[in-house]
Amino acid sequence: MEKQLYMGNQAMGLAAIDAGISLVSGYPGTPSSEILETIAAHNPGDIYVEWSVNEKAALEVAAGAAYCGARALVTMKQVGLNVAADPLMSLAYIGVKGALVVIVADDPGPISSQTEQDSRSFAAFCKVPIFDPSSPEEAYALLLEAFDFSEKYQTPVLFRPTTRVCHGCAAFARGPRKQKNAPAPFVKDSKWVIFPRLAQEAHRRIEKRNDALSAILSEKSWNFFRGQALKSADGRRLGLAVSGVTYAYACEALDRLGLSDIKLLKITTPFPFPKELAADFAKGLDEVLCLEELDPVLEKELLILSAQRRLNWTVRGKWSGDAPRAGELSCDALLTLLGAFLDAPKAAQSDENSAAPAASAVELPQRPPVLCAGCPHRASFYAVKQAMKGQRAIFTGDIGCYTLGNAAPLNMVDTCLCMGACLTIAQGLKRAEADAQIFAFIGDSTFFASGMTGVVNALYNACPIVLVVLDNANTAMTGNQPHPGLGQTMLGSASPPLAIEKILEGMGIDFIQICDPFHLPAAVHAARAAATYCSEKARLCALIYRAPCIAVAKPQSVFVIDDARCTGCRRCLREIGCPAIGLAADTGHAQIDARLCYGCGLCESLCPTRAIINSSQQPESATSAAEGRKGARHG
Amino acid sequence: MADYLITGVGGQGIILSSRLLAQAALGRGLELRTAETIGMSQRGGSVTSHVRIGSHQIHSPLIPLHSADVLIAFEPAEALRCLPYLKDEGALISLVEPIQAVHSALSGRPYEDRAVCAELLARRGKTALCSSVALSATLGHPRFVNVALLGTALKLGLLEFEPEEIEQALAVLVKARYLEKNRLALRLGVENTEKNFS
Repeated sequence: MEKQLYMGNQAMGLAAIDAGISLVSGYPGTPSSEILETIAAHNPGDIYVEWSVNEKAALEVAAGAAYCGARALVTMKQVGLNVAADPLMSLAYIGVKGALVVIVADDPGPISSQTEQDSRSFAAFCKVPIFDPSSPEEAYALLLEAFDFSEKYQTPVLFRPTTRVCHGCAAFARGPRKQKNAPAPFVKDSKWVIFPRLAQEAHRRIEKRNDALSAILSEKSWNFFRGQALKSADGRRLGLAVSGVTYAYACEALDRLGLSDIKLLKITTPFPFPKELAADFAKGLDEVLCLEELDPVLEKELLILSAQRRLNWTVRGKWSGDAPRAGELSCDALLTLLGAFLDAPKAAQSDENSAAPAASAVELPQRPPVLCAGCPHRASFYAVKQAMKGQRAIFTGDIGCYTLGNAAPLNMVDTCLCMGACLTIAQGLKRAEADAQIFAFIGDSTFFASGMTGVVNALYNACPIVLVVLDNANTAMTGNQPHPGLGQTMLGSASPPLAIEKILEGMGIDFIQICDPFHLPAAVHAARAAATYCSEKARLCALIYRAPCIAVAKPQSVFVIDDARCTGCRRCLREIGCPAIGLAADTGHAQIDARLCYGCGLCESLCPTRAIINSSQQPESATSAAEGRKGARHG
Repeated sequence: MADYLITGVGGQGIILSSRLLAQAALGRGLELRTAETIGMSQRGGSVTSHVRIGSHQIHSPLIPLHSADVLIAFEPAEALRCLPYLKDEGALISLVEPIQAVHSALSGRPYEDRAVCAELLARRGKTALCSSVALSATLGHPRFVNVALLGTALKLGLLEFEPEEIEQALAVLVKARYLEKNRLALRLGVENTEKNFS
């Protein structure tokens, strides 16, 4: 096939298809989401594709298929692995018959995650091999190898790209599609049933297997070293050890420093660690600098190896203070770190390159992510805020676009921990502060993923909190994926949508009110009624604020400011923080950016002088506003 | 053979612009590598794409500081923010219309876009500032302005490609129903004379 442009996630999706998978399951999470979407978009017609309700379900679904000899793929982001940890830990002992690869996309930074955890460390903990690709084209080739590896050794394997591999493009030629494994009917065998006796035997077995794999992986071409030790000014012989995208940064930095020939070890499978290869690499070196994201995994393995084999060299990296303990690396970071380590001719270059950029004379705007103009979450948060004005109330939040409700001026997210925690943290808070009015905000997708059990916990343990479901008919933050409430699956088939209110009713909640958050007075009234019910009856009650995400809804006619009526009180600006509303420099009046306004009308409800008008009611402004109007924002 | 940095605010079409350059590079059989910001930043945040094109193998997807040859910006504050990535003698092309951040609006202090543009023009190296107002009006929607700016960049010789190569890239990357509008945007951008230079 000829070379084409592929984003890393596309490369991995296509590699999975070419590896002959029968099934892919996953849960959306940046930076992994496009992998499964690619498979859906290029489905040859015989691959089962599913967005599962959460990562645990996704892994278990894939495991079931792999028990029958299928090749299965699971995709998630790094914190999703925390959710899938339970099945993965056991599956490491049980093994698979076909092949099972779990792609876990790490997020150095983090750019958009709760933690900066390193899945390579997780692999060592769950005793499962892990692959760490350094580029989109390597990810393609390596994923094919990962499936073969999983099948050969009958074990799930982890595959860990990071953001710059997932969300970067490269051009390469795709290979042909392998014959799909035809899954055979499930063969009943006690080996599929986890029991302590099986676990004892399995643990011993996989420890031996991993030791054997360490030797096997030392021979694989994707783990290698090259080059010559670099002599420092005082005669020390220096080398580098890298893993993942840091390899790419290192190659670039070394090129720029004119030091591409330095002895460099690239570890593509950090667990089981290829000890023999590393020991070989260590020969003739006095010092090695480990450059990796995120934990000191290579550093630790080399230190252990040093102790075990009494190697006469110094291992440097994060623990030695020669590399940062946290945060994303880059070519710039490596130029600085290498400069220090190598005492290099970099001296001239690094002054130019790493000098802090001169501060701009003008103050630049801060642009933290905000709720889009027209987002129903803005209206929902505002309604509850108004309802509880002057009263002690705590608002627990959760993971999704609505986490952005924490920003000024809404300030409606007091806690956020992980998926589904809004409900259960609320319960803990209530036990500690019995008189507080507590509202737990959860999105529709999060509700299905891990919110339902929290509701059951509150009901069973009789904890009076107000559950607020923010139902925008979308899994928006991760790129507009469907979920069980929507009636559409990734295979395009219709499935009966699960109605959240019916689930809540079924659980035994008496007070459930559904409102359109944009009907502000009704939404505020409902929030007050819920709070009253909750404190009077000492029972959990539910509000469902239902209005579609702008990414899945057509724009309405924009709103405009009537300058004759605007007094410049700025209430619209101060109260809701809509990105479409700004300040006209000359008049000091509010102004609405027609490129951004989605026509939700929330600002109209706030204006004390009725200076905000729907442009469709104003013939002249309607034309110019329609011309300037912006469509959906994602892309 | 160049390193291009493309920046703006989420939603302005930075990703399409970077893919167009990458696709054009592929059309010439050149080596290429990109890095994109996808996700949270789109919601009103700063978005930057790195597009690296060359004849030899390219390693890092991210362009090091002071190394970009060209900075293409759809928003002036973002242009200024990304300036440290641009070589001193590198070329900059930017739209002048500011997108005010909610934060600035709340504090009652919108950022000084004129001061930003003045600072951009004061730099060493070729700098072109363009207005998108007329273009938006002609095209009927601001969403095509990114492609129009690429057209202007082509005309100014900031991109190593011919307009036809970008048109071919459009045909690969853009949905059929938007293709004509995008082609028009490219042509209008090439013909655009409303700009400041330094």
